[in-house]
Amino acid sequence: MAKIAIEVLYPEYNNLYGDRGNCEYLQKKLMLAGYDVEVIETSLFQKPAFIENQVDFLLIGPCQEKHQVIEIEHLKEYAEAIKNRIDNGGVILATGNAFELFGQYIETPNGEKVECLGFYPYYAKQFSKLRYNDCSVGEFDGMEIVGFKNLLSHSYGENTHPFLSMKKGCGMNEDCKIEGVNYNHLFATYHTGPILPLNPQFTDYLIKIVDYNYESVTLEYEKQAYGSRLKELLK
Amino acid sequence: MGKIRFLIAIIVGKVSAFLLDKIFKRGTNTPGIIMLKICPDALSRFVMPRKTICVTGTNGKTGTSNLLTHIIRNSGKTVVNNSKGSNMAPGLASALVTQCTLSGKVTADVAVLEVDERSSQYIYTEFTPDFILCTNLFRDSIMRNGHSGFIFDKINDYLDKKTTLVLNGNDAISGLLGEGVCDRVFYSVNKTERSTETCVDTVCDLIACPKCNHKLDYEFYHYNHIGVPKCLHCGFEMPKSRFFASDVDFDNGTFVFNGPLGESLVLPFQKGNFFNVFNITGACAVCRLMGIDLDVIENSIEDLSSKTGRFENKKYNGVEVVSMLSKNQNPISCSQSLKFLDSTEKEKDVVLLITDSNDKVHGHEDISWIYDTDFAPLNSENVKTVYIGGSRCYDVANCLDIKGVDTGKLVLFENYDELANEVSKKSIIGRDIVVYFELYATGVVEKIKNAMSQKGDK
Repeated sequence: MAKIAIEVLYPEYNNLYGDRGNCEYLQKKLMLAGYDVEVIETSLFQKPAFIENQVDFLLIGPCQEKHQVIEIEHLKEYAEAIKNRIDNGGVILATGNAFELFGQYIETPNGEKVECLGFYPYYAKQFSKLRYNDCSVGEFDGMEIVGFKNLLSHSYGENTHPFLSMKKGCGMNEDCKIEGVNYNHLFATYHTGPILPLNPQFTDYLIKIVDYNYESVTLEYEKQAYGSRLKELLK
Repeated sequence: MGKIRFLIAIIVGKVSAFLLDKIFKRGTNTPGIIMLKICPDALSRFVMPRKTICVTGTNGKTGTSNLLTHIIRNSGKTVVNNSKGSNMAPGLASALVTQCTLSGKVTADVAVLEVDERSSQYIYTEFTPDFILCTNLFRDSIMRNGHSGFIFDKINDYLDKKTTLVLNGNDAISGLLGEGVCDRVFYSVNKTERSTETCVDTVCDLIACPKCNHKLDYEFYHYNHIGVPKCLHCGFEMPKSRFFASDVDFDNGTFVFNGPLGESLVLPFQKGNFFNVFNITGACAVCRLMGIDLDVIENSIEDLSSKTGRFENKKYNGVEVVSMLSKNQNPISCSQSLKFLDSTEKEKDVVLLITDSNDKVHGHEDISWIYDTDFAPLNSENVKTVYIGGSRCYDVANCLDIKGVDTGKLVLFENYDELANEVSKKSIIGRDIVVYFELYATGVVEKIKNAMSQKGDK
């Protein structure tokens, strides 16, 4: 039985909007497809497993703004390892404000600039009071990706490798129709919550990256759930 | 100018409150909405009573403020409260205007006001409460509340040093409110026979130490992150509680309320509703701080313990229909009410009306929160069928499947009328029907009850 490892970074913080659904769904599908699945949860003061071990999926979800600042300091220690993983085609799924980690900096409401990993030219600005909610549809590689956003920040500047072009809902900010980053197999998006169970086709696409021979497994209601959402959102 | 505007606002508020009460026989926020239109700073112009208590927090606000009102009234004082209206600024104004003079002096001895967490900036800036009781802070509706840190800041940024905070010593999220700013009094619940060493719930909103960010240890958990946290890295722990509940007896529904100097009382709580122990302990703490006698408290709790609670049951020709409110988009509320399924051995059909039934008006619902909900009780052998209703029924079913609930049990209906008919048609004498419904789905619950009673008529 083929072994697959999923690493979840900092689940003690990055679990705000049902994001645990991503790992649960991946695990369920992979197990039904006959894989032996290992889930590794790495907390803030631990060295991420992917640096020294085989990790097939690296998941990082959204966290509270004050925790994001703390996380960045830890992640910067591993900047080179993360860069290598991206360059070598390892899968990374970053959701919600984790998208911002790969940009230049995050400007906090009091004007402070928190330096990020700096792989891409965009930068983020946090707003203090207003929260941005959205139900959106974006397009990637011929797939329509549906999802939710719950954000206290937007991003600006140049996006050299956008992941989604938005059909409904805003992109990096309200004046922008592209969002996220896709470079090799890094998929970073502002979508929060269970983006994988909402998008079965995209999940299969991710699994195929890890194992080309994966034969798609379909859960009983996933297609209806996806179809009815897409139909409503594009109405 | 301001004084005249306030006078007009009061007159209009009083007249509209009187008329609305006569016509609709119920409280509403309309007088407050009109008042604040006429005089936007009306709340700051009231002369507040000698004691003003605000009750806030994610869960337990309503229960706790009703209890407080009840005890204080029994102590012989008059109380103004907003139990009939909303817990936002217009609701507060509507309540105050019914019990004030034309100059805006509130005539009641005490104000007990339930305050929405997100409204802090419109309320605590207008007047300074003597006490703010915060029941707890949890993740709540995603679309309205974001995350618990966002809500914490919304409250913490508007606290005045003259306010005494009464805080849940088992909650290290809300328990950090007003640190270094306000006087703080803590209440908590001692370890019970149901406390656990690990968190058994899907969600724990406080895993890392709020001071040093290392992983927190818990001496025990009551539920979710409510318990006794201790940081082995930096030594963080919660301040000592001045008031606490001990000897919780789940079988008999009693516990002991303890105060400083060895005072104690045996009090009843609603069986099966452990949160009630927290609500009562918090309310009693405030009452003791106000100097209300122990025997007044004892007598007040006695006659209220059978009431309240957001669940209802009714029998239709041998089928008991239990309906329980599951607060919208609140995974904690939903998970906790699902635990009820484990409390009896009886066979049950379950109806889930937990996603927004009014999404045609509210817009597409962000259903992320269902992934934070603990659906394990649906796996019980006693649960025979799980009906799922509404336009997001496939999402709920998919989530249940992922979380390991047998899909063979699931029956889905987008249409609520069809669901109500099917539930009634397939009902079996001796098997309960447990309906979980969100705030806007009360009409659907009625449909099910109607279908059940019509079945009996045939």
